[in-house]
Formats: sequence, structure tokens, C-alpha cells
Amino acid sequence: MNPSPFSQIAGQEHAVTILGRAVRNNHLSHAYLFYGPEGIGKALAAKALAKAVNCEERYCPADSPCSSCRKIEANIHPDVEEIRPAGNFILIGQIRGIKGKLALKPLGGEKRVFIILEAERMNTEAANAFLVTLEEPPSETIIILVTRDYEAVLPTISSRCQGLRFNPLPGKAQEKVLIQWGVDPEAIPSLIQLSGGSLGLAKQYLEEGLLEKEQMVKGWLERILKEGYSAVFSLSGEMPSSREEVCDLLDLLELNFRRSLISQIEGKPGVNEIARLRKISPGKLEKLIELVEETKRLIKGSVNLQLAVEVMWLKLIELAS
Amino acid sequence: MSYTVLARRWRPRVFEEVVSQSHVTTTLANALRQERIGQAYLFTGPRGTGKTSIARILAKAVNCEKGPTPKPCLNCPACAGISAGQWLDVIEIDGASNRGIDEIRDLREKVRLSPAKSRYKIYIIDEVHMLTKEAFNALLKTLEEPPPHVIFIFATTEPHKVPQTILSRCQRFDFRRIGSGQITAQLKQMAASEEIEVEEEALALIARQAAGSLRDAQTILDQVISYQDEGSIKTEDVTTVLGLVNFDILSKFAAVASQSDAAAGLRLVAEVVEGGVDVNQLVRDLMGYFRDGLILKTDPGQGAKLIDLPDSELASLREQITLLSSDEILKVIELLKECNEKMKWSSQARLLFELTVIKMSRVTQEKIALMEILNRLEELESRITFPNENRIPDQGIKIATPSMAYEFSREAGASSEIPRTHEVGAQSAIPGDVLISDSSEVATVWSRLIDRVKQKKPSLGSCLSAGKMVELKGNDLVIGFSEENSFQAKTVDRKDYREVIESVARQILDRDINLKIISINGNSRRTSTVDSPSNKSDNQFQNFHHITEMEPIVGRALEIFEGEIIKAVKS
Repeated sequence: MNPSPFSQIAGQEHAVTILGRAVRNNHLSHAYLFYGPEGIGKALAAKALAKAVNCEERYCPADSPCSSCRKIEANIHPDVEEIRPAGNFILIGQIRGIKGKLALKPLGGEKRVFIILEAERMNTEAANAFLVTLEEPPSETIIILVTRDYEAVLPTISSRCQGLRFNPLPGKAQEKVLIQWGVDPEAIPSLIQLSGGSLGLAKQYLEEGLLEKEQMVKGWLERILKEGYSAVFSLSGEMPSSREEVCDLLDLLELNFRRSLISQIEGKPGVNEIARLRKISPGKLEKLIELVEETKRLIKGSVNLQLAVEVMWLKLIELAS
Repeated sequence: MSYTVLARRWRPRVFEEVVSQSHVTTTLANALRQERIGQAYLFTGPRGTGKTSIARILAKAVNCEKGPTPKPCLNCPACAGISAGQWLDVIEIDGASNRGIDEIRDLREKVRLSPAKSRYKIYIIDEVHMLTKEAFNALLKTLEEPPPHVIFIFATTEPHKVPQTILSRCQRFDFRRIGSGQITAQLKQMAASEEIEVEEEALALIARQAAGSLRDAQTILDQVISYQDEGSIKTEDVTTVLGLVNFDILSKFAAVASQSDAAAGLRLVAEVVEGGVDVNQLVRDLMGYFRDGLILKTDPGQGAKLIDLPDSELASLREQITLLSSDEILKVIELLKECNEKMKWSSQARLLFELTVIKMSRVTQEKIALMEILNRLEELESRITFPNENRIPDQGIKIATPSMAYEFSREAGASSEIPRTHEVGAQSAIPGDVLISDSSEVATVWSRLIDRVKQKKPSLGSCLSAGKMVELKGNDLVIGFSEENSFQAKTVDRKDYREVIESVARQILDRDINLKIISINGNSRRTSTVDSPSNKSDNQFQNFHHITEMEPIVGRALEIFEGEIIKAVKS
């Protein structure tokens, strides 16, 4: 027997086991809510579930998939549909569309599967319009809601679904995947720390050239600590102009303080540590991290980007001296 | 054949099967027995407590061939049809999808028609809170006086979104959350009839997680059953399926706080994250843990009743919290709360949690530091001796130049009607003795006055701050301005501004205040008091005064720009 479509999902043994057993025992719920951080395989698992219930051979080999699995992969299966927010929200019209389709019989597949991505973005009207369908849909239907923010989904919705938590990938599992991807082993520890167990995020960081950025931020920090106030304004020219990019860089900046803080608490020198930071007390390092966190929060709001960063550097110098 | 979830299969069919809503079922059963059936019902309460189920039972009860009866037979065509959702006269409407006025108009049309097969035509409108305002209003008339063969049943989780006008036309029933004991019993019964072995402890855990909603509990049980396909279901299975944080891990974090071991804390975080635990969830669970701890600490005897924990965990919790004081636990909860809030914004949840753990490891030390500081303060305090033991309350506050004090003592001597405030009496009797000993209190009153006035009218506040509070005696508040600040004096003396200041002063001092403005020159004060614009000694002002009376617009302009008239030209 070929492995189930779930086997492609890395590091989610828990969720995969539950789903695999439910399929095998024919004990599937009509509504699922997959939740957990971004980029860890929720949507992938939803698709895998659609494949598993509709697979013609149960299960077809991964290298020569059956027509049903191929169609699902290509998003053209008539009975499997993905719904995404139209703009900022999933609207009542989209939910009514699902209900309309549910009134008809499946077109060919065994089960109809609706995958609602970013389900937390259903607006109130849409979510409420969905309640009755979600509780008692026609038979042979599976509705899978996927969300990264469980709390943001209406409790009346989540109570009608089987919730399935997807956890951040354990470091070891993530390391394995990253090695498979051929990532420079030196970059792996910071990548794991930064992405917080999300392969999706890790991929994004890699595409954006993480290693160079890390070196750059380290260079900045060293300059600021050495030259003091005079370096602040010459640096602002080097800052990228997009808010997201700056936030990513500040994430990297924080990591330097974290390394130093941890190495001081544990009493052994950390890898890649900036020597000057060793002289700063743990209490001050904490304040530094909080300072950077606060700056990130401000930047995500609507403050003047350049000013926020400059003020952060100035405060940083003050704290560090 | 596809599988039907427990929650749907176990929908109660008669009133007796409904769990824990006896206040609703008894009332309804009695109403049925006495044939006093209302025309509109509103069922409200948290999710998964039986609103829709009772609505359907009620529909059966009134339409059963042997009814109306509190015990529908479940066998007659009506009962069977309603159970299957195929009965023509029971119309279930999803209020959230059919929320517009058009749907309600359509409903109003059809309400008039008499039922096809049974006694009553029943409209069950679920999620009724989602109807639009217009739809609700369109329903009002029908709802107040529906045809005799119609019963409306509304169900909602959010009654506050239903207009008052609708509420007052319905009999309202509030459904309660179901206690975890009752949920456990219900789950046990279900497991037995499904022939599934489940540990008692595991059922209790499910019931706790369901937080009062039976449907949630059934959903979880379903999930666990599909996870564990061989042998009996154990507590660990539930923990795994729900991804709960193990209680032992929570205890370990508590130990980090009580033993001030930051390094151990960091190792623990690494271990937990390595195991793939969601840090956000962990922080919330920790908050719950310490919340329980705080309850136990506050009320060691009865507190356990408020906590939904099995005995073994309760004992472990008791042990952990003996090492921490209530204040420390409170501090830890604060830290976690802060962390939880910040994590919503940050991409670095782990880093924030690490910081929090480090801070947690310091709560006991901070306490020591704080105690030290307090001790030192007390020591310092005991060394200071106050020259004037008499603290003077508001009534007698007085700060004065020597001559003022003298005047006051004379006044007090001459007229016995003015109560001699003994606090100041002794000191003010001696001319030349400056009443500065309670200057701090006067200063507070004065600075508060300026602050409040500034809040109301910034420009006036700054004018006021140029002056000095000369005296506060009874209801009189005397403010002095030096010669060079005559402009400010004039501004403050304007009628509308005086009112502002007087009202603020009244709020601060809690009594009527009469404002007096005097001019002072260095230490000696000038005798002329400017009470109102009319007896101002300022000639120029008097000359122009009539202009503002004749031309109100000039007065307005002066008010807006806070200016003064320097020159008047006839055109």
C-alpha cells in the first residue's frame, strides 16, 4: 500500500495521525477547524485530506497520482473547492455560494470538500450565515476551516467543528527539512529561532537573503556601540524604506541581545556573540529587547519610520553605555 | 455510509433528555400541560446548551397527535417528520442567512396560511440576532398579534443584539452553562451506549475543556474516539488530541518562579519549544495555572471548589504555591498577561516568552529588594521630626505676608462670628510670623487649581500661574499679581474667567469660593483690590468699557482674542 497523502507533511505527526485514523476508520467529522501558526502545513493538510477521501486507489503512488489527486493538486477538481478572502474578508456572498453548491449532489468525487482558508477573516454576517450549514451539512460533505488565529474565529463556529491544532515544528524536525532544502548549516540556528517553527516563514527568510542581512545588522550594532551618536544618522540612510523589511531587520537585531542575555544567564559564551554586549547587564539587555519590540510595534502602526528607528538607536546607546 | 457526529446523533428528543436546563423544560412542560402555550419564545444562552434542541422538542410537543403534551410520542407522523426535519408545518429558518427585510416580508405573507397537517405552524428562527434592524421591525406587528395557529421560537447566543421591542413580545428563557459534572455524566452514558471504553478521568478532562457546552464536549469525544481506535481511551489521548500542555510542565514553570532559577527556565522553554508546543497557548495555560494557584492561596479551605482540577493535580498545585506569596503570584500573572498581550503584535513569541520567564524567576528577589527599600524608608521616616505637629486642614489654610497675617488676627479678634481656627490662631497672632509651615498644603491646592484650570482653558491657566495664592480664608480665595503682571491680573479678573476659576476651586476645596484679586508689589501689597471691572482703577479700561456694552461684537472679539482696547476711532 502506498503512503497516504498526509505523509508529505513534515513535523505534524499529531494532526496527521488523527486525520489518518479518522479516514481509515471512516470516522470523519463533517467540519474541521485547522488552527496554528502560519506556514506549518495547515492548508497542505487540508488538501491532503481532500485527496485522501477522494483518492481512486487509496492511495495512489506519489509519483504517478490518480486523476482525482491530480485534479485536486491542480485545483480543478469539481468537488473540491478552496475559498479565500475576497479582499480583506470572506463575505456572506461566498458562504451563500457554498450553500448553493451544497444543495446539489457531488459531481463525481466521493466527498465534497470545501476548504476555507484564513477562516478568521469571515466577517460577522458570513460567519453567522455559515452556522447552520456547518452544524448539519448534507451527507458526504467535509468543510475544513483553516486559520492561524483560533481566538479570532467566532466561538459559535469553532464549537461546531472538530478543532485540530497544528503546532510549530519542533527544532529537530525543522532542521531536518532545512538540511533537505540545502540550507547553509551556519544559518540554521538563527533561521529556526527567527521562524519560530514555521517552515513557510523560514522559506521566506531564505528567499530574502537572511545571512547577508544578519551580517549587516550585526555590523550596524557594532558601529553604533563603538561610534555612539555620530553613527546614528549615517545609518539611517542605509535603512530600507519598507516597514516590513525594517521589522525583519529589527527581529535580527533582537537576536543579538537574546544571545548575549542567554549566554550571561547560563554563564557560558554564546556562538556568534558581539563582545561589547557581554559588558551589558542582563537587566539592561532585557530593556534593550523591549525597546526593539516597542519600536517594531510602533513601526507596524503609523509612525514616521525613520524617526522611530533613530529614536530607537539613540535610546539604545543611552541604555548600552 | 458516512458517519454522523455524536452531537447530532445525541440530540435530545424529549424534555427529559435535555441536560441541566430544568428551569426551562419544567416551565415549558407545565405550560403544555395547562395548554397555555405562548405565541413567541426567545431562547438565549451560550453555544451548545440546548436551545435548538428544545425548540425542536417544543415543536413536537405541540404538534404531536396525542398532544399538546409535555411528552411527545415520537412515533406519530408529526413527531417523526419533525425529527427528520421534513414536517411541512415546522419551518426552521437560519436567521443569519435570511436576515433581510424581504425574507421577513415573505414570512409574513406565509404566516397567514393555516397549517397543512398539524395544530400549529411553528417558525424556528435560529441565530435571530443576525436579522437586520429593518427585518426586526417588519416582524414586530406579526409577533405581537400572530394568527392563532402560529408559534415563533427564536434562538440566539447574543440576546443583547435583539431589539428591546422584540424582547418584550417574547417569553424569554435563559439557558445556563452546563456544569462539568453533568457533562461528564452525559459523556459517560454516551460512551457506554457507543460501546467505547473511556477512563473516567479522561471524560472529566473533556468536560473541563468544553467549558459548559455539551456540544463542545461531544465534538472532543468524537475526535478522541477517532484518534484512539484500539483499547480504551486514556487521559493522555485527550491531552494529545487537544494539544494541551502537560500539567507537569506548568508546575515546572512555577518552580522556576519560586526557586529563582532563570537558567533552568530558559532550558525549559527550549525543551518545550523543541517539543512543538505553541508558546501562545502555553502562556494562556500558565495564566490559568497561576489563577488557580491564587484562588487556592486566597481561600485554602473553599477555594478548591472553584477550581476544576483532579485531586492529584490539585495536590501538586497546593505544593507549588506554598513557595510563593499571593503578591508574587499576582506579579507572575501580570507578567504573563503582559506577555500575552505583546505576543499578539510580535513575530518573536519565543523571545518574549523567554524574557517573561527570566522576569518570573526574579519575582521573589524583587520582593526582597522591595522589603529592603520599605525598611529603609521607615527608618528614614523615624529620624525626621516634624517642627509643627498640627496638620492644618483646608479650612484654615493660610499663607500670608506679615501684614496680612496681622490683619487676619485683628479681624478675628473684632468679630466673634468668624470662627477662630485654632490651628492658625496661635501663630498668626504674632505679626511678622510668616505662615509658611504648611506651605506644602497650600502649594498643592494652588498647583491643583492651576492644573485643573489649564485643562479647562490653557491660556487662563498660564495667566493664573503668573499670580500667587495670597490667602485662603473661609470662602475667600485671594490671589495676588505683581505690578508687571497686570495683564494677567486683568485677564483672570474677567467675569467669565472668574467663574471658571471659582467653579474649579469649588471642586477642589468642596465649598463655595469667592475669588479676590489683589495686586502685590514684592512684599508690600497695594491696597486696591480689583473686585470687578467697574471699580477698576485702570482709567483706560473704564473709558473703553462702554464700547463693549454698546457693540457686543467688540466684546466677543475681545473674548476670543483675549485682547484689550487700546484705541477707539470713530468712522
